Amino acid sequence: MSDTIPPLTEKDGESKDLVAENVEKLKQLFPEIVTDGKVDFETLQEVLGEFKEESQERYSFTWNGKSKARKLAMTPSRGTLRPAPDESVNWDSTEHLFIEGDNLEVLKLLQRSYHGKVKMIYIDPPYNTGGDFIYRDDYKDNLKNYLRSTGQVDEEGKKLSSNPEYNGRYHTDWLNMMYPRLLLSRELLKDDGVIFISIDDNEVQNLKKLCDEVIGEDNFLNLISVKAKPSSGASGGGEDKRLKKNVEFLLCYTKDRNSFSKFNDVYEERNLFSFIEEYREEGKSWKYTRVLYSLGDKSYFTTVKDGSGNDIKIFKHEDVEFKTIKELADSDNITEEEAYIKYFDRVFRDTNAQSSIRQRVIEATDDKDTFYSIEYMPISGRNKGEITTLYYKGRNKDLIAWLSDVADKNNGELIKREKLGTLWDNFNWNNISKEGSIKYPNGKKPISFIRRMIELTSSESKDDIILDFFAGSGSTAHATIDLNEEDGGLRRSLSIQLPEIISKKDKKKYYSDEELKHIETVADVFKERLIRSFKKYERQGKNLGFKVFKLDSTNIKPWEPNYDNLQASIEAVIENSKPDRAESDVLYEILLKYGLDLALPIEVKEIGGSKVFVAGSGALFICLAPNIDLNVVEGIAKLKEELEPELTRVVFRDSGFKDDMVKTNAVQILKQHGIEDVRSI
Amino acid sequence: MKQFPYAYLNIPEKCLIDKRVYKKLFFENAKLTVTDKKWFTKDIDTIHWAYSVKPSATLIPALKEKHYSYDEIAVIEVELKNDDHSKRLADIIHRAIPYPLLISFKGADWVRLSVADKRFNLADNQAATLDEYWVTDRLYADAANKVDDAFLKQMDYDRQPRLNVKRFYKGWIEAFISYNTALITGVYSLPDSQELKQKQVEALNKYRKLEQEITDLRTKLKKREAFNEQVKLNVDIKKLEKQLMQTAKQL
Repeated sequence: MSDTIPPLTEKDGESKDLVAENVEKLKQLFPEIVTDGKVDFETLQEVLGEFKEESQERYSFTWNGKSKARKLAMTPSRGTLRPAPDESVNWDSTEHLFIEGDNLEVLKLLQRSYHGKVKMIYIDPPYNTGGDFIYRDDYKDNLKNYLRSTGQVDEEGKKLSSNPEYNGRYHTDWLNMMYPRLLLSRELLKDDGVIFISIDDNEVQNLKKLCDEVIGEDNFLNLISVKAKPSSGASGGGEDKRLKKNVEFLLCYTKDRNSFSKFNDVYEERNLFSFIEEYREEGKSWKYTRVLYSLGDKSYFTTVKDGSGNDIKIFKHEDVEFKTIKELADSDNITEEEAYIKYFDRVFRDTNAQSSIRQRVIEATDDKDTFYSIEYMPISGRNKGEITTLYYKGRNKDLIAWLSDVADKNNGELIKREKLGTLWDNFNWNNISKEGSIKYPNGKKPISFIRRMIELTSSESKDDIILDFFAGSGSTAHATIDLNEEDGGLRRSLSIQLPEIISKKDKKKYYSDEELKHIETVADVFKERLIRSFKKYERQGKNLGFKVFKLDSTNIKPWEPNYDNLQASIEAVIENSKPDRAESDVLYEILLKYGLDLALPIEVKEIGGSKVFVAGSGALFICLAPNIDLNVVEGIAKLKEELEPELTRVVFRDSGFKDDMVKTNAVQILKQHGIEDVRSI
Repeated sequence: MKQFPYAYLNIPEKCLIDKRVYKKLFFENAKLTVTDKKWFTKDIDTIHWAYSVKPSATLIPALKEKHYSYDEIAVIEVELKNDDHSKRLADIIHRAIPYPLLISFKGADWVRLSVADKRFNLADNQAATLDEYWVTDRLYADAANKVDDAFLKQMDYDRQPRLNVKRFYKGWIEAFISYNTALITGVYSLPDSQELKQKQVEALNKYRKLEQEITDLRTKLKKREAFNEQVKLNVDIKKLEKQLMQTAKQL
């Protein structure tokens, strides 16, 4: 190890360089094509010869601005995330994160720390209906653009650049907005992670093509149809000419089909009796109306063989009794519903579904009105490998199908369960404005809707990271916390939201109450909503909360020489942090640079009179104080020995030492205590 | 025999066998790998069958169960030239002999004792399946260590239940469990109720499990090169260490 502290370079002011990584990946796969750090495309062509698309016409999805958009995603960010503990809840203990800023820049900054760590992404992006706010990225300096533009909005709430339908590049602008964000967010997904995107018919086709391109057609899972509230506000614009929309979509991809095993089993549940009522209202005949009251006397009849040569034992039953639910309700003097509950295990219907087993039973028995049961071991299906009993009745030997196979009795209530398919139609959209106790004009999704997605993809350990980078009022974070409350999970929500300024009109309409007066931006709505929702939850204790971070320019001053006043420029670089930034700002920038979690445990200690941050249970010591003397260094070494971490890195400010002698000795002292990894910023 | 550790064990003279057992017997009957054979040959000097705790000598009845019969307990003395692989040797010897065993590995001025919980392997009538086995640290004859002294006193023949051979052996196993607990807490105590004994076993198992998890994470950390992954592992290790300390308090 060297005796000097390696200095910070300009590159350290940037986030992860994805292009360089791609070159590195190619180098691993095809070492022969990377020469001197550059890719030799001719050799690449030779290596992949027969896969080259030759013709000019090709199956591809492209639009004006696509390469620029891709480049935008690849350009490292020159920003950082500044902590805002005063706006947070339970800053020290919670692991939920809320980041205010342009999601594109934020996604770039999160690449190192959260690459391959996110289990589920849900986003509800602008549907591009004509009146949405499409945030315009600036290819030259996106960060400056963000900082400048989040202040500007007009009276009517028409944001900086809405995307009206008559805009010639209507779809293009939407695509250029979505493309880089999808590229970057895909990098954060675990290999078996899943992304869900809400969208409606305006852009569903383009979105599917976009995802096929960014995530891969093979990784498409489902396109789910969601029955939504009928779209309101259909005046003008030709909307009255058309049918009212009451369906939207949920597009679903996994990062890697080979790593994704399956969705968890999730069932739609409804009260059985309301299900039966609806069934009858639709004019359908509800058939589970009889009870197998008594199986009578059972006696062995014969044994036959099934298709694989295994035994089917057949038993004859005499004096079997059937009653209808109505009869039992009358004789027991209870309601029909109560009768269903009382005799739940024996309620049945006949089916005359053809099966080879049934055929054999028919052949082995008779065509009189008799009753037989069989015992056998099925080689496939639900009861595979287990000894199963089936019952056959009547002249046609109809199979008895039990109500308990399609419904459950839970705490005295009867529930009809159906495995989830791709039509989701039983969410209650009418009360969502009340959810989270705060209104949100841009449309919330019900938390039960998002909860379902989390249930479908939840890992067994229930500690997944769930990302929403169009967080809005915070339904995803709310849904995460809600599910954690119910199943004791430790899932973490990671939310990103642009602090869009709320129009005067909306502010007057929704946020004029005394307690809501402080709300200026959408980000404020998020925070207020979550705070209000926390009151309901008891189990999660200090985990309940969120850490707020805000996108801003890097703390580390880049080399921006002013040639008219070079002297001043040089002096500025010596003091290389921006003066208005607190030490904690620089701390978090360092954490991001090192790819560490923003919720890493951090203790603030005073050592030798200077503030020292101890992160990761002693793995990282950061001291950004000025005028550090050897007492501080000794103190750090001592603390390290107390904590006994498995590894240690110590970071100082380059200009933080009292003098050069201290700086040199510091390295020696730390080395003596087994600390070799010392850096400066 | 009044030499160490038999003075503590206090087994009646009627049970004395004191016969030489040849290593050849193990080579023929036990399933030994090449390494096992090497260690067996190099590390062991001689093997003696010291005592047999059996009904005819002790009036403690035998017990026959579905999978295992507790007819007698053999006390085997193994004189060692080399102590490096004693744990593995204990494993081999317990498996090879289908009786409950107390093995005494003898060094210059110390012994290591070992017992095992085993079942008869139903498929293979000769071999036994080991559920768990225990080997103590070196116990010195002068027993200056309080824990060792308490443990050895607990191993006294007179302190074990005499209902049947199985219960007797179980008494020895419980002494071993308390010994293992004492290695962590520093105090030897034998819980008196069945419930407390169960709790002690559970806490001990949890402790061992946490220790293993911590070791696994440490190995993982050494393999990882990325700083951020190492930091995460450090945080996880520290969390487990905290749990370990809390579990130790329960012991």
